[in-house]
Amino acid sequence: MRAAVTLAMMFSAAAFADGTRVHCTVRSVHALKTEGGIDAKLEPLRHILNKDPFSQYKTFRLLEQQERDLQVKIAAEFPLVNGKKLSVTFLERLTDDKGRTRLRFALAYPDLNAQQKVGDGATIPLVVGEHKGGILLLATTCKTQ
Amino acid sequence: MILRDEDLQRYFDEDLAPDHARRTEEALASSDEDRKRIAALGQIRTLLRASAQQTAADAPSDAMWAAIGAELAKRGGPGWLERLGVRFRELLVGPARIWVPAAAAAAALLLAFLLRPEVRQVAAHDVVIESVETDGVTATVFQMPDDTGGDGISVLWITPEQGGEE
Repeated sequence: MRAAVTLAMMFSAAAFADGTRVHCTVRSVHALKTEGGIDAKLEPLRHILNKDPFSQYKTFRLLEQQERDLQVKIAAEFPLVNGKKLSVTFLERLTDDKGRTRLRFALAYPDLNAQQKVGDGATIPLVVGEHKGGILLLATTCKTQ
Repeated sequence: MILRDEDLQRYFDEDLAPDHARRTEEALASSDEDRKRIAALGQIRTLLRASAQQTAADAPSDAMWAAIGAELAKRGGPGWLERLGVRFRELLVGPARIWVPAAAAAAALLLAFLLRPEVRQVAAHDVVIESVETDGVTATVFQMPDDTGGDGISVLWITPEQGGEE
């Protein structure tokens, strides 16, 4: 029993250290050109929302936020406010030639498949089209645990 | 002639061959010094025997052990609380041989985690699009700078070719 607990602790710590899991947050953001400001809940995305191509939009509202732990190479589906689904797959964790951690993801949305390499904790911006007088931005933020 | 220590000790222990023992006896007869040495060996043996007898006399007698056994039998086995205490002490103290290596392994893993090369990273915001496949939509990639010093943030913007999202 003690040996089993010890082994479980060691394997858990090893998975933790290896970065075989990531915690992902998918935010559905409604952007409008009318004045309104940035939703306080979107503060983590301000560094994206205040630059082109989003600078023409003056209102950003958080419509929905979903969080999920992702295991490597296992796709997770996020149902969206527009009735469609976003699939996110954590492919691998790697170290680039500058010694920085990078995470590779595959994103699938109806009629779109993309693969991105991002920093640990970076947000992947994906605009999926028009939505109720504005646009719908899907912001996927993942970080190793 | 002074006898060698080894010969003297073996003579004392009656461990010499008869011929060797006879020659040693002749040497002893002609040496006051060797006779004193052999006498000293005899005194040491006497003291050791006396000490051993005293130790045996001080040990608990069979009767005492019997009395202890009878008392234990009369009291019965240990209570559940006492047994629980013993098990608890075993858990804390006994398995040190298990917990110590486990703690060392955990410390090593923690150290490896803390010292992993990725700790050096500073930039985290950059997003690089490696591949895009579309079917019936138009994908546009916008590039924005990463204020944290990364390689920049790529924004993927898709537009349906027919009609708009609602």
